[in-house]
Amino acid sequence: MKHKKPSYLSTGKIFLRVFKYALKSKLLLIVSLLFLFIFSVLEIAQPLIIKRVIDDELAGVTTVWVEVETKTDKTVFYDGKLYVKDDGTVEGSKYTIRYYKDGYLWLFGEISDKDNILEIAEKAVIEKSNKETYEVDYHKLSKDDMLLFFTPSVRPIRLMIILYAAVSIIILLARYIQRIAFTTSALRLSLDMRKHMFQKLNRLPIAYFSTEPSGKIVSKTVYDTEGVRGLYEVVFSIASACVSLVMIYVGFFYLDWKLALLTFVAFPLIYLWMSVYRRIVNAYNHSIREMNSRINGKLAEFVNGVGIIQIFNKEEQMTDEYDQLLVENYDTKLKHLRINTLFGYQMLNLIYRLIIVLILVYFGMQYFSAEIVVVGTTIFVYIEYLGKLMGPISDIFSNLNSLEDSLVSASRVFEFLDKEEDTGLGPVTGVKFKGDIDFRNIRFRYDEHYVLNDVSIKIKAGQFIGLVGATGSGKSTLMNLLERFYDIEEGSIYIDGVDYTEYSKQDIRSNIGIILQDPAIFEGTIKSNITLGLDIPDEVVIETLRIIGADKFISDYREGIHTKVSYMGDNLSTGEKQLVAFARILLRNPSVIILDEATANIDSETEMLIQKAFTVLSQSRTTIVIAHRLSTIKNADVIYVMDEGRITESGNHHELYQNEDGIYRAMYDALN
Amino acid sequence: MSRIFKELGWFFRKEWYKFLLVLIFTLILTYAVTLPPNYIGNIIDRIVQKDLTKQTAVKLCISMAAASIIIYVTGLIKERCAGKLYHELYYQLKKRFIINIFKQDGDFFEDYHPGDLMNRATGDTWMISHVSTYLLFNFIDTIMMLIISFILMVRLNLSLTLFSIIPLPLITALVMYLRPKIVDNWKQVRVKVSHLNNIAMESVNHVKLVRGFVKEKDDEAKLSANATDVFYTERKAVSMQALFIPSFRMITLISQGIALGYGAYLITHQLDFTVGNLITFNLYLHMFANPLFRLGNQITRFAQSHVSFDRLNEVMDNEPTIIDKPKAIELDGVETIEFRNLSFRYPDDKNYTIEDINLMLRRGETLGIVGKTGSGKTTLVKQLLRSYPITAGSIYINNQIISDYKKESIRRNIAYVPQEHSLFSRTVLENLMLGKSDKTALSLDEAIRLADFEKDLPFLENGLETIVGEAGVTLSGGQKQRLSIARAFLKNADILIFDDSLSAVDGMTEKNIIENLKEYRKDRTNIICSHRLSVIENSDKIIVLDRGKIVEQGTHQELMNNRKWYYEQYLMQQMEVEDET
Repeated sequence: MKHKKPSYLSTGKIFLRVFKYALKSKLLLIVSLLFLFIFSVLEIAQPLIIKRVIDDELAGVTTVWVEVETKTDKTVFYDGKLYVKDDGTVEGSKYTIRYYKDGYLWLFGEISDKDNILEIAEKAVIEKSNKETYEVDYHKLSKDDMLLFFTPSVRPIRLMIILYAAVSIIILLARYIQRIAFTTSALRLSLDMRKHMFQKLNRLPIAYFSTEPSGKIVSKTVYDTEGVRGLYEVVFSIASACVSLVMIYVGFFYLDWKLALLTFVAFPLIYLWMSVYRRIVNAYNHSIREMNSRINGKLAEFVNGVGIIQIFNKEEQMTDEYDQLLVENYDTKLKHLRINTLFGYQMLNLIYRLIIVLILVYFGMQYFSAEIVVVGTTIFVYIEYLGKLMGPISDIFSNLNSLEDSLVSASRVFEFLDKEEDTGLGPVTGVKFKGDIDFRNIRFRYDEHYVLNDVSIKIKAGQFIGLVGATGSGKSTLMNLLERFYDIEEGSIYIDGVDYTEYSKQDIRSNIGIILQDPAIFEGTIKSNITLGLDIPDEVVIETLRIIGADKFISDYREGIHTKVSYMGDNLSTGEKQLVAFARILLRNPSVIILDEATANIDSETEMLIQKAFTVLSQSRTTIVIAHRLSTIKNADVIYVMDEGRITESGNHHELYQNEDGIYRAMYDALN
Repeated sequence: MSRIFKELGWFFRKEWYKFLLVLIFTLILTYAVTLPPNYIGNIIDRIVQKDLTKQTAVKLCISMAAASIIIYVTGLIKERCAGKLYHELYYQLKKRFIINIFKQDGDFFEDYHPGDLMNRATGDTWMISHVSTYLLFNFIDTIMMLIISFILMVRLNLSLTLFSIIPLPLITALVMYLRPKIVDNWKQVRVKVSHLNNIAMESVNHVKLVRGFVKEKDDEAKLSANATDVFYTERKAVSMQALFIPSFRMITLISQGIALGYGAYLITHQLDFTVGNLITFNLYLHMFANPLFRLGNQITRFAQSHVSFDRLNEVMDNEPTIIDKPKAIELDGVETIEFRNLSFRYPDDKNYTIEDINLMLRRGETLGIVGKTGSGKTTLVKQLLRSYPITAGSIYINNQIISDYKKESIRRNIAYVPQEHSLFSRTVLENLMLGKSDKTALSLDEAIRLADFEKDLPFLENGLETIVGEAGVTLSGGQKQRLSIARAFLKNADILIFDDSLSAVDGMTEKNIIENLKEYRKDRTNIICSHRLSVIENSDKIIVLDRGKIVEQGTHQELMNNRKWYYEQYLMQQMEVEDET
């Protein structure tokens, strides 16, 4: 189930290149890192503030007190005398406050932290850690008494709480700023990458576009770039999680370095868990995703082909096929569920809670040892820190999950960006050709099989040329070469007496207007499809349409040439698309036109319009038509018949028709 | 939320015991999760008050460990049951969806386009499965947690609880306010990304045009502008999203602040409220605040799911318009077909697409139907296929009204070659085999030969095993048609219908196929719709349709003598290929 995809670049190199892109938003990155640091540090401070409040003020009351003479802001007036907390600097009678069974006791004398109160009767019976007991006098302290003892704490408590609130707010702001700064830099990253890819797209050789389906190519620019952004985010998440981790451990060590070391025990456990889990889950995720895409593919097929399925009575068969996939998917998902519930977040949570048990045991043991004094709040802070640890750890963990896919996406993007660009590109010099075209001994192949075998054609400027032949005879290929969509390896093409490789590809193409079998239509308006970006006033466009005789169909539309055209021109008929394509050419006035005739069905009315438009267009221009209907090229100056990459017959219509054994004659008769 | 129970009652009844299990374990789990804070608070108290005994310590540690394990185990069982239910529901919904789609008639597909159906079959089924299982369980979990943590907080101290929770309901309100906005923003992003995708597809699909017209720079600028638009939309969405969690934390912070302040007051003013209590209370407070956050999310998502329920029901509840009569019979062999005053119009149209068609066809006859685009040829033919219900008039097969027969058995007797592409992304062979039926008497090779598809096979990389479509080779228009024709031949049905199926093939191929048709199917009924009159020239009967009505009918010679539309068209089409000399 696990398959390693061969990656174009090593993981390290991928990270490096992604990083280079990230550097473009240096400022945002720095801001992000700065605020990351700020809130990571402050988050360690937060629980410490609470600890201070509790230790020194709230719990701090159950300590040793010393009787003093002079009043300060730290003294407490109780039972006619002044007392202050014993910090070792003042001499006097010592008393201890201790909590015992829902109340506080005022014990006479200094009671060690390790001693417990056993019971109270006339005197308080205290037990030492070595099980010896002794007795002391005591008072029970009332609520009002306690209030007196807490009085010096009131101001500090208030201050601490305000400090806590302030720190928390700063943390929130810092997190917010950090997040915004970082995500903006990530979005910038994918934008930059997309721009580069779009630049590259138009510099790649045309041959590339037949190696991959257009959907896949586009998916790289639109979706794989999102994947790369994911990569960047993952890296940063892991980095910030590490920063948080380090900070928290600083806190751990500050509190109790021995326990901190002990918690390291958890790391190999977690690491083990993560790697096992990742590997298994990834494999499942992969096959589930694959299956989902197959299911969706099938669903799309069905939804689009319901008619046919119904007509051929294949509903049941198709449902069974679909069911099979669904069941397979279900089974895999259940397996995934089993593993996931066993080893997923539940397990992480379990480890977390068991570590807490470890902490409790550790502190418990310390408590019972004779020497060490345990402060209860340390446990509290430790547990808080542990909680803050879970966030970064599960971040790292969930991010590592998507790392795999992001790496694949990144690999695809960089492979695309590194592709060899088209040759022969250069500036548009504005050179205008007369239109003499000379194909000399052209031999050409796309793969192994030669599509053109020694083709030579001489065309004079202004001539109307027809190319006919069966599918695969090489007609379109010849035109691909003329447009320099592909580079010639054997033979040459001369335009106006000069080898056409002397010109840039753009120069050549500026002089040739092409109309493809299924004319390209873009989202926009009819006008934008005709002007193709050139700034041309409406009247000129309308005039152009009139000249080719197509104004009628434009006036049929309510908004005329400003009628909206939808994606891929779905709202126009094939005939209308052709007329738009003709108008485009006329507007640009090239010296050469290539028309690859549409084979789809057009109604006779539009057919006639197209014929008329074509006649207009082909005047005083070198016109080459790749014909599927012989009617179009009847009036051609020369017709070339191609078969298996060679010219088998040539001449005008009459001459060719006379040849009773020829392909042309046969084709013609078949249509009659 | 009651919607869930209403719509999916069948599912709940079927799987009730699994639901019960989930509920029970959720209850156990929720309670178990509240135990650790208690133990922790306890131990801290004992240590602070310096009266921890070994016994207590051991007891608390063991309880803590036990609780952790119970939490793990019950969580596991609960997740498994919940997951199973989710996957089961998803499976059921997806299956039922496609079964229902297959039952529908043509009018349904006028209203629901493929893209739309896909969305419903994927997005909406996922949403409903998720909402009816995971979301529902999370909701129950949330409510339980709220109740239990509230009770525990009150047990510690009533006034502290009441003061502390004052700001908390704001969380739910805030979530319910922000979340729809955030979701909307992200929807916008997806729309823009989808648009970028479309524009890029255009550029890639039309690369030859872009290069041919030297439009590289413009194209690039257009794409970059769109990408930048996406960037700004994403940034807006991200900015709002970034507010989400911090605002929740802010409110929790205020609540915590109140708890700390008032808690400190209680410790100093009351003897029975301890530091440990405060710590435990704080933990409980988190257990109360988090669910409130989730509650907001859950409520919004329940609200959003209504849309999905609606959308799914529209498809699932839709009954096909043409339903077989209770005593519908099988159609076994077609001798005669008769159209009597047949008229049809689409539900939303004012005009009739075909009007008052009267026609009789016998076994062995070939009918040619011609007319301009939009004259009703396809509609007429589709009536025979029972794709659409009859609006007026009737069709009789073998002298019995068409509605007497089972829809499915009528289709068994018809082989149809449609106008639009009708191939699947499978191997050529698999596509062909769609035509295989009980009546198939031809071998595959013969069908291929008759459709003149033989000559195409050498051009296909893997011959019959070549995959057609998306993942594989794109066949030319002519190849697609020939394949569809071969498939129809294979079915060997009594009626064969060509709906403008020869538009993309060249003259010679057209001739071959028509000849094969004549020869191989001379004892059967054939109906051919076409633009090119050469195709139907030799039919036994030809009808000319204009705006849905039959304006001319007869044999080729009769129609030529009429000197009307047919005659003119025929001459015009001849001129296209005629020799002038």
